[in-house]
Amino acid sequence: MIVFTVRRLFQAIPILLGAALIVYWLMSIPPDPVLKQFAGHNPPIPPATILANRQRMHLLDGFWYGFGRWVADFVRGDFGPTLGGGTDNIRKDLITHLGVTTHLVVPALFLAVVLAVITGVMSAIKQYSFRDYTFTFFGFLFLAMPTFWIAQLLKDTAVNFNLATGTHFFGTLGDRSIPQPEGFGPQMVDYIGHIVLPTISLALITYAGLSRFQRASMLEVINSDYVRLARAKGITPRRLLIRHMLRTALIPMTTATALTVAVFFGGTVITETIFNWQGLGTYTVGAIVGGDKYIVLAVLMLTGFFVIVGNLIADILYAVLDPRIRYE
Amino acid sequence: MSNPITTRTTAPGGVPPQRTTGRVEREFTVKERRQWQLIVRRFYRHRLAMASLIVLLLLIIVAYFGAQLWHYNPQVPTPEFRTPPSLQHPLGTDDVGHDYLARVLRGAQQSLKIAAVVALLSSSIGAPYGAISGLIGGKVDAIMMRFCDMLLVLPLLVVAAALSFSEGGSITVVMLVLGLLGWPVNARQVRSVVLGLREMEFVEAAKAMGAGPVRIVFRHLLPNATGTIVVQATLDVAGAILGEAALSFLGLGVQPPDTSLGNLIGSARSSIDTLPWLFYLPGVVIIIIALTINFIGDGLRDAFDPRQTRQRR
Amino acid sequence: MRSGTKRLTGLIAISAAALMVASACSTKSGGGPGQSSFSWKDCIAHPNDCNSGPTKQGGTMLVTDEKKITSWFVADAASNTYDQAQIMSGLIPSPFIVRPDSSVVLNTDLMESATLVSANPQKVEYKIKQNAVWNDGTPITADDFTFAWKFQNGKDCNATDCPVAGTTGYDTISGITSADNGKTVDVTWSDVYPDWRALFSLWPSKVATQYAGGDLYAPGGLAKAYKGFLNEQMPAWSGAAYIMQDYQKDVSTTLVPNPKWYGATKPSLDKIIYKIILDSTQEVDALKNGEINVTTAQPDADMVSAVAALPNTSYNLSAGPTWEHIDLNLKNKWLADKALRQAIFTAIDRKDIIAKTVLPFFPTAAPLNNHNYMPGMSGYTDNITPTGQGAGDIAKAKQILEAAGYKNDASGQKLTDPSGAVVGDLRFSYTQTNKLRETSAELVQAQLQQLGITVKLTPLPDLSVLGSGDFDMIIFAWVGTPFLSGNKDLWSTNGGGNYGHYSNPTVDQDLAKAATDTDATQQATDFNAADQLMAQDAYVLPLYQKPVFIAVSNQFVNIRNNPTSAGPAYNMQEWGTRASAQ
Repeated sequence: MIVFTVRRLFQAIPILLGAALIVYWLMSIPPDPVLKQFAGHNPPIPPATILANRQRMHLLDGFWYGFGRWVADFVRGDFGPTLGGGTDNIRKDLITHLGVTTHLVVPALFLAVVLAVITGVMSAIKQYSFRDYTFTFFGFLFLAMPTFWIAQLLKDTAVNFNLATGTHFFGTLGDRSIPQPEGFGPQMVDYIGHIVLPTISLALITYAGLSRFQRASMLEVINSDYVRLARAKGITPRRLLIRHMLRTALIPMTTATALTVAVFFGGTVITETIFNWQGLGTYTVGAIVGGDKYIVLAVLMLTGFFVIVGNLIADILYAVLDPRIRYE
Repeated sequence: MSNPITTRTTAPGGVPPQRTTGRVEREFTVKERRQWQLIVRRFYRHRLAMASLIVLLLLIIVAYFGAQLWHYNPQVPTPEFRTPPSLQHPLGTDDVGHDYLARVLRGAQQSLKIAAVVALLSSSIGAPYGAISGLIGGKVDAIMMRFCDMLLVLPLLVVAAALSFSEGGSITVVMLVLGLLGWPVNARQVRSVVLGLREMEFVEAAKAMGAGPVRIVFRHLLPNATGTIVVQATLDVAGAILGEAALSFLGLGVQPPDTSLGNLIGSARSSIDTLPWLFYLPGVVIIIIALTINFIGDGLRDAFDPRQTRQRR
Repeated sequence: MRSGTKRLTGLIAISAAALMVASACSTKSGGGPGQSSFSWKDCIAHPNDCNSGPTKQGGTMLVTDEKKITSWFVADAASNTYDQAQIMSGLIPSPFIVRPDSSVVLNTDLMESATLVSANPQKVEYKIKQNAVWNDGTPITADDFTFAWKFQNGKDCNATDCPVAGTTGYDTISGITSADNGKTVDVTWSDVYPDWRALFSLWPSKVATQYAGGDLYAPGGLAKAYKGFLNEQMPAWSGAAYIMQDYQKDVSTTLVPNPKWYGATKPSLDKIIYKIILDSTQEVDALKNGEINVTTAQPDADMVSAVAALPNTSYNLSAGPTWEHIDLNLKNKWLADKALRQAIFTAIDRKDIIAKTVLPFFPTAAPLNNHNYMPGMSGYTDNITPTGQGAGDIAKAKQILEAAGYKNDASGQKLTDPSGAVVGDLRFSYTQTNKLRETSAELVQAQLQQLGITVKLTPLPDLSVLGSGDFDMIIFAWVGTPFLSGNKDLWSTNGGGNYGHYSNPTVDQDLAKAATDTDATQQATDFNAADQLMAQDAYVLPLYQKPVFIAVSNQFVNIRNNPTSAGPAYNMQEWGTRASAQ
């Protein structure tokens, strides 16, 4: 298992390198970003300045030379220049934005998993009952909603609520009010008011998929032989549920969660845009639209790493827990 | 009265019995059912899935044929602009005066087209790839899966943005992007199924009879993985609809003069407070499509595997 | 338990649905778009002092900032954005101020006087107020003028070390001398530069010297100083009414009053906080929710109607210096012919375009008839209407074509030139995210269809085709300015902004003269002479001035719309909370 893990981690390097090459190539297709940045300025920017900026952004290098140089710099910790110049340090910004996204994603994921387990288990226990159908319906409904639709709806509702009640509980910008209220208590309340809407948006969409998964695995456990035997032995339903069924049924959830985490870090763009959180998502989209190729490459390395590690964990759990699968 | 016994086999002795006396032997008449019929029957029983199938078919019919019958053209402005839903314009009009029902129908056509093509692309590339990888195993499997990993690492937005620059955001580009970045998921799914299947006796038997890997894949493995493939394909359709909507919301998806549901929503972002029907109505259509497809997929999953075995990735 | 869940689920479902229905259906009533509200009705007649009044001490103003801050050094090309410049107006002193009506006046807080002592060679004498100091107590002197000159002239510091946004005006200064302890500054130019009033936004030379490590003008000194300013996380210095108290990257910037401010009006606000909101569609919700008080987002019909419906918020739309126009690429073989161009411009109906784009929310929108001056500026004359262009006169356009030998082909659908060749499709390019431009494109397409010219709509992700020349017809906008000498580059042969490759030697002569006229009246005469010729050549058709928008919560006073590039921050020290109850 250790060998397997180490091997996969080593294999991560060519994967990331290959992905980086593709992204580098893709970001070289659109026209010169510096020219675009300065186009239409009145009075026009002096040509000497434009040239200086193009040189700074390595836009005059050949394709392979540029890529090679990026790789060499990257492994030394220099993530490259940005169109904004000056004080921008990609590494620092990346960590800051990662922090913001993380404290958006973690509560949402937690909420989603809890909801998924509860609804999935309750659905499975009384399969095809009204409760099952209701949970199923709502689960699928949320699964079918585009993120921005639900986020925008929540935001509208919250703002109208604020206006109706005259309070300012729900915040729609970022993770806290500026200026911040005094005192720990009010700050906590303020934080919650800002975090609740995006968390709910993200959690609603995610819990549905996980819940179906949980329901399916719970059903299999319910119908399995060892549970039937336990029932025949006369174990009470509650003890049966907690000590026997849940533990087994939760196992596939762990793999699903690992994959979801991996996906999350790339997938929060829309929520971040609507609620104005300066996380990885908005950082990346801004860089893509502006043509800041080095920011995109740096983010790619980070999210790619997460995706690979997430998949690796899922595969390990899967192999460990199902003896039918053999890896040569 | 006694019931005649009707079975397909003749009674021992070769003489078909005409009558019986005494106690009635009740044997049910059982026609042999083919596997497909069993599957379809189980699908029937899943009421939500059946209802969804009907709704989806209705929607498709309305989107394609209804649009022909509707008298407004989605690209011709009418004198009424920025009007809310009314009898004359059931879905209102947008800020230049296009009839919105016509636009939504056209957008639905395109979104459905994109979703179907994406699912087809992902399945037809991903399923054989995953089956071959799973069957062969070993180093080849590892390399093939790592290639999948590389594609999965690529961020959708970057690819979509870069290609929309050179191609100008046409529907073809969006279809290609979503399909080409989506097939590794199908491959993984099929591969997991194949990993389970290949230990089974029938595969060993086929190998013993001298079948090559291609034949094994297409004749034995893929048919047995049909359930997974079909279910994943329906998930792909739903995912493509939502994915296209998300891309267009960010401005990286379908661009004018092409149209799609996501494109309509994206253009209507600024009008949320003033002309809310422009934003919410296409969203409702997206939800209906994605919802019905997910239910159908759920029904299919139940139909293909009544024991509801855990679906592996 | 089971029935409880059922009921609970039902209840949640119903209330959720009700809330959603309620929020979606709450349509607004209220003031129509295009009107100013509350005390802003007088902005049309008195743009320089509408929304004024006495202030009371205190208050925090929350303003939107639509772009991320890359660096505070707004002289640097990459950092020279509108939002950053607005914030830095609170820290950077300049000798002249541009007011909302485009008039340029002396900044009497900083300067005693600034007079043109001699026209040629151009020499200006600045007299700085004795009490004008930076916030560390250092007086503002000629040293600061010298620093501004040297790092922006493109010679003392090259473009690699000092990639500045503009060198024009500084590059022709021959020398600066000072007297009276540096409070009198004499600047001499080797070439006439009429827009000298735009120069000399000042940076603290003392801080620059510290960054340079002692000797600012030694080799490499300016480069070090430049880098120092570029890398400032939060400038600790200020020569104007505010200082920066806090900066959270990508989130917010906080300004507080500068205790060493020497000006006549002391700021009454406690704080001004600029919040970064990248997505302008979120600003209306933020205004509603009280999370911001002031926004200057790009207006469109939706934004304006939404803001109009908000209680306690006033707004104003003013015609701005940015003007939309349609350009023709004279390198296109069809468009090289003057008659075709004239016909095209004559067929375009500007009033119709305006009616379907900006008029719905900006009722005073009107076609613009000059390439350099805006209505209200003293040099403005109508140079377009006499040519008959932009009036949508299809009959006249057809006449022009016939007179030049153009005919319709056999089917009557397509235009052919005198040699019999069918006039090719013309691409009409526009930035794809701009709905107004898309609408304009569609209208032009329909208008030119009547002449037999086929127009192909060509949406673009950005305007880089201007540089590459890969366009036939294109719609975009120039930012006008009261400092006009740079406009020469827009219309003269091989000029930096002359993307359609227009060339007319007489026009070039007039423009060259206009660029060096120090007398405003003479300058207007020369520019308009060039303009009349250019209008007849049908190269660029001005459409309309884009409206500039500002929305302000009613509790604030003395903040008003300034559609010039100076922006509403031009009088930042006067902003305050309204003294009387609203």
